[in-house]
Formats: sequence, structure tokens, C-alpha cells
Amino acid sequence: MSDKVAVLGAGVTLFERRATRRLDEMASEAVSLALRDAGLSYGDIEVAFVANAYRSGSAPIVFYKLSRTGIPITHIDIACASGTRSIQLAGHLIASGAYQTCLVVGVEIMPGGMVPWPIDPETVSLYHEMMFDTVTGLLTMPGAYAYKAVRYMHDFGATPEQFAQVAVKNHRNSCLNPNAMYRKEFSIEDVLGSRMICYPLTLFQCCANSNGAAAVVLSSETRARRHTSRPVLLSGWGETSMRFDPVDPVESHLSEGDTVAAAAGAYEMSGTGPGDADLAQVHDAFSAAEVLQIEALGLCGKGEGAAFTAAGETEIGGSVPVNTDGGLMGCGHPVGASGCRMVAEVFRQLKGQAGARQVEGARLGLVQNSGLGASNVLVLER
Amino acid sequence: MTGVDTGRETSHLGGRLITGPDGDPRLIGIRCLDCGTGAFPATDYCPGCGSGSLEDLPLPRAGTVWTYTVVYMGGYGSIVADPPYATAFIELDDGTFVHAPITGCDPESVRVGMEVALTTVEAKENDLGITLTYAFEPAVGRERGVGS
Ligand SMILES: [Zn+2]
Repeated sequence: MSDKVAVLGAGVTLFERRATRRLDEMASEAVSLALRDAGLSYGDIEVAFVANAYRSGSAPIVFYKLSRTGIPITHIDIACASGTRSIQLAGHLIASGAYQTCLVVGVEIMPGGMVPWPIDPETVSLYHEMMFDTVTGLLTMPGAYAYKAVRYMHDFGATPEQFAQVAVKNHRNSCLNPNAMYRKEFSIEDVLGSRMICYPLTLFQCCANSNGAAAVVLSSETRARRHTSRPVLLSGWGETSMRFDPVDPVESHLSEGDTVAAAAGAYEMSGTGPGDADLAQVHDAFSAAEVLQIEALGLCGKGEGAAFTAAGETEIGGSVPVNTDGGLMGCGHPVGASGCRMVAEVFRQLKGQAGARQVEGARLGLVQNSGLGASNVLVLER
Repeated sequence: MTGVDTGRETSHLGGRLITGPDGDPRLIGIRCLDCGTGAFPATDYCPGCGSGSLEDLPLPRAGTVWTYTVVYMGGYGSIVADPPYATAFIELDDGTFVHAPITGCDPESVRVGMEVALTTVEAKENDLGITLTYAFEPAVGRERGVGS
């Protein structure tokens, strides 16, 4: 038997620079909010995932605090994409008919300073490509998008000012989101004038670590219709990791082919296309990433994303608002929680409950979430 | 130790770099015997098809910068250079892409399309056993073509 998948509720905690609460406390708050939103109790949940990158043993830490109902609990980690990966796995389980209700909670207390590289010479061999490139200074997180930004400027004549506009927009949107870490406006001069990290990306074009949790309750459409006559459906999703293209090796390293493939899967499954999107949440870990991801989703043509952004098309009130809650840039990035936060925002928008940042008449929203070469794309509709 | 001396040439960095008797360097990638994919660095399985049937692929020494960045912050400590340093994806003359540091020039002078050639770099002190590694440096005209 198979059923459609619905999102029944969502909850997001305050994302804060310094964690004032422990992992279990933040997760419990997000779960309580999401369950109340869904009209369910923890006893109604049949299977649960925790998305988290930096704390092994997160599943018992998070779920045994809530209740010991004997359901299967699992920790999912593919770095920054853990939240959406968990939601997609929940989708597969519900669509297959194996379970009717699933809880996903993303939660993270980030280590201090720069995002620690997940590989080190004690555990990874020196000639693993990621290891060698790390010790020779080739592999840095901002650098990965700086490369793409430089080539993009060369190919399409884009400017650093156009990339910087992403940061200006997302920080401005974060002022409308009481859970966002920054809630502070920055001018384009502030953004361009901040410290250079990896040319052309300055400090304010790189997302900062934050600490927080976000939870999403999913169910079969049948189960959802017991609670609401107009459920939000997770109507399609696509999931990929890094792919080597022998015909075009550049594709493997330097484009967003993983997102293009994930989006194609999500659009096919949902019977929709980029022209149907009323809004999108994309992985803006770096300003240039948002530009490349909106192109990979097909929201604008290849090479047009920077000008599309600079023209205000992705602002709230533009033709397709992007990162309405402030994105990673404005909310900060608690790695395991971010994907769940993105889905929660689209859910809130489709329910018409996004308050000051509401996109009028939003009926279909996209989520794109990246993590260490993986890209997940989800379509939510109401 | 990362160098294995055969008398004729020395292998460094797990076989990805060899130097000849005069110190002239060469990068060694792989070619897949099943699907023909060429790639650098060498791996145990073809990145294109997963085959384990691979042969060594000596790469040309020269190429052009396909894209680059200058790292001011955000690295994890390089054994090649202190920030700011330039790094690049280089398209070699046979079409293979190599990810490498750019040395021998002001990092801010690196540009897309810049002609570069392979060179070796003495590694900074490290506890990984690496003494010699590679980079690319600006090279034009005849100098660029030597040995490639
Ligand atoms: Zn092959």
C-alpha cells in the first residue's frame, strides 16, 4: 500500500550564537512545538530521526528524554544536509506504507570557532583526496564556493556587488524572524567592506555558526486528513551526492549538477516545475551558493541568477522570494537543524502563518539543502 | 618518508608526484581501463564507473587556470603556504583537471586563463611525513612547453 506524504506540524527554537541550553533541552522544545502544531502527542509517533552532525549518541539523548515508547529511533548525519535527508527518509517510510507518522528533529550545539573539518589525520588516510587537499590548503568551505563565484564572474560578467546582495537580502529578512540569530540589517557597503575570507567572498557573505533545533512531524495524507481538510503535502523530493562526470569533469567539482539532478527528481515525482514555485529556501552557506542554487533549481536561467538577485526578484514581494526567514546567513547555521528549519519555514508560509514575512498566496515552495557534496531538493504544496 | 628513490626517479606523496634525476616533476593520475576516464589524483577505483582496473596516467606539466581563489582565512593550516595564498583548478593541456596551489607570484595577480606549469615546493614543517609537494607557477611560451 502506498500513500502521499503530508507535513503535519513544525517547530523551531531560537537560533542563538552561544548555546544557553543543552542539546536535549533545545530538541525537546522544538519537538513540543511541532507536536502541538500537528495536534499529536509523542505517543502517536511511530518512528523518529534526529539529524545532527557533531554529537554521536544523539538519538537516545534526544528521544529518551521525551518518552520511552519503544519506537525505532535513528541518528542521521550527512553534515549540513542531515535535516532534509532525514525528512526524505521519513517520506520514503510513509509513502511505502510502513509507518503512518514520523518525527524528525534537527539539533546542534556547534563547536566553537570555524566549522571544524570533519576529517583529521588520526582517522583518515593522508592520501584520501579530502585529507590531502585539506593539509595542502586547497580545501576550505568558503573556497569551494569562491571557486564557483570566480568562474561565474568570468563566464557571465557578474560582479561581487551582485553576490553581496544575497547577504543584504537575507539579513534584512532575518529582521522579520524572531527565531533568527542576527535580526540585523547590513548595507551592501558593510557586506563588501567586511574582511575578505576567500576572494571574492567577504566575512558577511559566509554564514555563521549558531545553536538551535527545528522539528517536523510528517504523516500519511490519510492520517493528516483526520486533522485538517487542507494538508501541506511533501509531494516530491530528490536526493543526490557528488557525482563524477567523465564527459565533463568540471561538472563534478565546480557546478551544481547534484542540485540539478535532485531537482529533476523532485519535479518529476511531484509533477511540477520551477515555474510553479511561489518561494524557495536554498542553501545560502555562502552568498554565491544561493545564486548558483536558484539557477540549478531552474528559478532563473543559467548565468542570470546574480542579476536576478540584484534586481530584487528574490526579495519578499519579488517574483520568487528566496530564504524568507533569513536563510543560513540570517539565522546562523546549526548544521543538523538547518534542513528542518528550511522545511519548517516553507510549511509556515504555505499555511499562511509566516506573519510579517508572509509571501501572499503561497501554494508551492521548494527547499534545497546541501551537505558535503550531497544535495536534497523537496517540493511542498498545499 | 614520502619519497621512494628508484635511482632513476623518486616517487612522492603516495605516488601522485614523481621527480626525475634533475628534479623535474611530473604528476601521475589514473586512466580507467574499462571506461577510459582520466583523473587526478590517483584513486583505487575509477571515479567515473567504480572499476578497479586502472593504469598510471602521467600528466602534462602545463595548463591554464580554470578558476581560482585567494584564501585569506578559512583554511585549516596549509603545509604549502601561509595566508593569503592562491589555489586553483587547472585545466592541463590534455584536459585533465588538477586542484593545486599557485606559487611564484603575488596571489592577487592570479587570473582565470593564466598559463601555469608544474613545480615542486618544500613542505613546511609538519608531522605528516611530507617533505616535498607540488604547486603550479606562472609560465609562458617556451618555458611553459618544456618537457610537456
Ligand atoms: Zn571507469
